[in-house]
Amino acid sequence: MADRHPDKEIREALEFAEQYGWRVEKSKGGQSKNWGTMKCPNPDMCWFTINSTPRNPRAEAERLKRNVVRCAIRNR
Amino acid sequence: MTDEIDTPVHNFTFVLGAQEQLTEDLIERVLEVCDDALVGGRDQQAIVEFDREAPRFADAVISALQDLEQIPGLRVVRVEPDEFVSLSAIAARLGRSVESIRLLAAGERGPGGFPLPIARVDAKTRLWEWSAIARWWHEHMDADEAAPLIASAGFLASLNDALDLRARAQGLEDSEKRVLAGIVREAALA
Repeated sequence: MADRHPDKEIREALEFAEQYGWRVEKSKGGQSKNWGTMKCPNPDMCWFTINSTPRNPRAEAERLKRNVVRCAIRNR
Repeated sequence: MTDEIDTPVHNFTFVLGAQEQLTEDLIERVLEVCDDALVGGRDQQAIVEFDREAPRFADAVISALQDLEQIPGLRVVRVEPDEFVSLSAIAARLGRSVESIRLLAAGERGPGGFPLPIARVDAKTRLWEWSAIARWWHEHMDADEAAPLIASAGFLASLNDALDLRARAQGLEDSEKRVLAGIVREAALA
């Protein structure tokens, strides 16, 4: 990960995703809400953007991790 | 059982159509309007996944739909309840407290035989298959207990029909659209 997300729990969720082979990329340009994108390692390539300032960072971290696991379930 | 519950958080996903429409600008707009949602792509389709607080599942879906569709050019084509759900999502869909669902899942209350989780996200979070939960609930809880399930399934099916109708109607003649409008109005007033 080139740059760090400001929230600790979201950083942990991104590390969790990377352990599953996801690629995390910080967005280019000065977008304020879209912090970056994470992409799954499977051929169908699901991907999610990461909010730089979600209402509830813990819930955002939970959503990101949940989708990493959902994707793994779908592709097993 | 009358468990006191906080406002539940409901989890569901809107499909917006082909993922190519998710430009940087549109993603930015969605994240501005909905800071309780994830934007992304799955199976080549643009999706927005919500964790929304509301008393009932239908209320959560309606407010999220209205938030999204106020964005110019954005139209939802389908809503899906997520198939893999956490304990808190199960509790929200069934209108019960998280603790009461935890007790049912642990077999410390109720008839036992609660479906096993399909995956573990981390020490705190496990995921269940919603269709297995719904089946178990139907078989083991009485009719009143299954009422919220049936009500939200009925609303979701109707909403998806209405969204489908809106998409299909674009290609129709005005006279044909008026007939459809009459039928929808009748349904709304029934």
